[in-house]
Amino acid sequence: MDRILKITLAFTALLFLILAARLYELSIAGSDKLKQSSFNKRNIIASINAPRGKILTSDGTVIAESTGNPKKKRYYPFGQKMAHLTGYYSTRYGASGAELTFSRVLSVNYAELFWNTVPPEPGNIRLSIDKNLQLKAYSLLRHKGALAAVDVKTGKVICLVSYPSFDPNNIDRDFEKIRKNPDAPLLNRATAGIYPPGSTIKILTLAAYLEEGGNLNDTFKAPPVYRIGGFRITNYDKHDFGTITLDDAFKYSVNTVFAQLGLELGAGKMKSYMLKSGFGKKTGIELEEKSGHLPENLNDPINLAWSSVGQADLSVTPLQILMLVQAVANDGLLLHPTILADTPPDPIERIFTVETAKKMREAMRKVVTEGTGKKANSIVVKTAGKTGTAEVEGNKPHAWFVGFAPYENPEIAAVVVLENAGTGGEKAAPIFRQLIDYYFSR
Amino acid sequence: MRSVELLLLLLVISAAFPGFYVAAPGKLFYLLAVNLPFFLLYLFHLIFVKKANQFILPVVALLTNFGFLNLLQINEKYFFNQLKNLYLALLLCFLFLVVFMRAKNIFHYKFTLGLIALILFLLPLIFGREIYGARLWVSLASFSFQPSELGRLFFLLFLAGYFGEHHILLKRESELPLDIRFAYLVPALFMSVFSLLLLIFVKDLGFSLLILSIFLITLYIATENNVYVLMSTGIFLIGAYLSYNLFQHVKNRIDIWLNPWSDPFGKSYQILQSFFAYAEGGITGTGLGYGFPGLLPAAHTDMVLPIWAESTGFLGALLMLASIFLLSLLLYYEAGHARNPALKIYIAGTSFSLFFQTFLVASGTMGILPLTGLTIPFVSYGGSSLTASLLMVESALLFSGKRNRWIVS
Repeated sequence: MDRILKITLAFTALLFLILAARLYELSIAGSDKLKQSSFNKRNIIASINAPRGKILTSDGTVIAESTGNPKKKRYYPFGQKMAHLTGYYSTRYGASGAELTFSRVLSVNYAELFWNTVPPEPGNIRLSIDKNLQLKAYSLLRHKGALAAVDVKTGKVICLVSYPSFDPNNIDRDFEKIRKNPDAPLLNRATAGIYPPGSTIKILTLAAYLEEGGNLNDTFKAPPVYRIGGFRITNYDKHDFGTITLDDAFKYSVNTVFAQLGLELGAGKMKSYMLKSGFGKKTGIELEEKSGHLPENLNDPINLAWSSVGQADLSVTPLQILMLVQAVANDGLLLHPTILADTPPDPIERIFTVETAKKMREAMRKVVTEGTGKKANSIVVKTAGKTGTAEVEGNKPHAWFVGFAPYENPEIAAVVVLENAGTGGEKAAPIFRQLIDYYFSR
Repeated sequence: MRSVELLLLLLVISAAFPGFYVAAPGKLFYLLAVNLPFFLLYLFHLIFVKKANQFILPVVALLTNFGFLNLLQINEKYFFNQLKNLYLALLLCFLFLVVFMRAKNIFHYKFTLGLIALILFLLPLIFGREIYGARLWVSLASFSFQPSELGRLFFLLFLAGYFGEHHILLKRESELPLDIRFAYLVPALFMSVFSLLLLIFVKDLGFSLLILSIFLITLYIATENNVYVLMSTGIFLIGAYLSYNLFQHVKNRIDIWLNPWSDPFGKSYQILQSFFAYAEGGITGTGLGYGFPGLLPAAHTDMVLPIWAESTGFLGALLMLASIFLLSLLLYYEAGHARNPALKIYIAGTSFSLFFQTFLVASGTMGILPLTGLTIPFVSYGGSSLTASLLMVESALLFSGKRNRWIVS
């Protein structure tokens, strides 16, 4: 074979290798993501005319089932109120939520049908959702945002609401309209909404500082404006606190003190605590989820300082902040969140020591009794938490509140985010309190 | 005796048996009907080309079995139509081979062959009817066929004949001044540009790309000069840029390729379904008949590879692609032993054309390149493609070998 044929052959071989590599990528390396795509009708088509399993809440109430004969239709008794949990299921538009994640459990397994003569039964899925709390949460959240709560000892999600919602019963009729709605009702804001954490990040900054040997009664200067290079970090309303202790700075959410904390800890420590707490990556919950972004270039002091008070380019999902507080309430042990009722608790790691977690709970209690979060103070049960007010350029800030209850022996943690609603203490804290009141007064 | 060929053909049958057993249990004659033509071709080889390569036909048989198994899981109707196509292709193939043999040196008639190619490219423009937005098909009585498939075979015969005669003048070492060398290029260039324009006119993008690549590869093998190839590639890129801006359907295809997730239930529906089929296959596939070919538009023509990949997995799809690559390798080997330049160019051109069309279709379904409506040789549904592919391979076999009686030069 002469030189020219060898070159042609080599070129042909190159084309073959390109095909093989891409085939590997599609069929093996990247196949999980494609299989789970909400546009992939395989997730729903297997059971168009076959019965599909039910989705239940923790008490066994049906929230999604197949009705109609012989042509099956998916029915959601609670419609919009549980839409971001059940998701939708459509032969035209695919599936979302639990319908998508657990599609292969809920549908009849056709591979099994091949080997067995008796048609297999579809599986049911029982969620960890507390039905009544979920309905209460839905009625409380009347503003664009998210509200969710977990059991701090198990990581099980007990309610999860995103507003605005959609009715999965009419998905075939309304899909295009819903998809084009600028308020994005399909977006699950609790798990896939990305927000600057605002002052709720101070939980992480403070805990990191305590872990590194700091104390709640260490004192700091708290001027109205703190200058780094040519940039300034200011307190809310430019308030001057003089010299204050750290727990007061946390209580009143003093930016200028927390900027100093972050700078003292340094970029490496801040970043490592963010990573440890699960920021910048998915929590692994069984719903559509985003990972958020870790701040870039923390070595720049101004970025580090802004990140320590929850602004700059750090962004998180409400669920990530909720799980941070779950760890605080659970003596520092961070768990994997889940929406399944019957899975055992799945610990990730102890991100803070028991002592740090205890000090953090004290500090968060004071936020509610004396600080910015007084509207979260309940007469039913002792609550604790942290407010957040994330500045948004050219609009009202996002209001955050994240906390847990009861203070002495925590059971549940909850998070509230309201987009462009105002301050966390004014807008988000009352919603948290009403949810907790309902939970403990039943 | 060509016992290696016979043995390998029997091996192909026994390998295909479990597949047919799963896809059409109790219908053993499906397997026999699909494989009988290859034993007829074996007999033909035995009589006329005793010394020809014995590995090529078994690879073709293997690919054909893959193709029929795939059609069986898509729709039994396609399976039977394609079975008819197979026997028709066999008949036509024998017919053409006899003509080629009678001609003694087919390349002698290069300009006639070129004219036939042009006429075949022109037919759809006059009698064509539009299917899938492109005017590719010609109907004769109850038959409809795609003349460009056969056209490319004649085009390749023409180029091989022409370059085989003039290749010394066109080479870099040639003493001729540049303008005269270029003058010698003109007839081939004219034919190619004209063919390209015709195909672009009937919106047959895949085929224009294939014709262009056939022109380039034969030019390269004949002249051993990469300047021509680089120049032509440059012209192609300019052409592609112009068509992107001039033709809406080209722009659509390219936009879908660049943003496959942009319109999941509209324009990019097909390409996403293809991705999903690959993903569903995993390593070993869902098993024949347990995929969802119904989800893929044009499943039996453009989308055969993702459907095959869904049911047989990464391994099955890789085996199919590797078989075509092997076929190409065997033909390159034969080209290396060809007796004269025209034969070398023809056989190597055949090899490249068969693999490159596979590459274009496969990469289209995988999102490497925009989707083009071409076929995978011996695997995709369609009689014209099957006839052309079979004839290309068989004529290459006929022309190969040091001592064959069919080319007198």
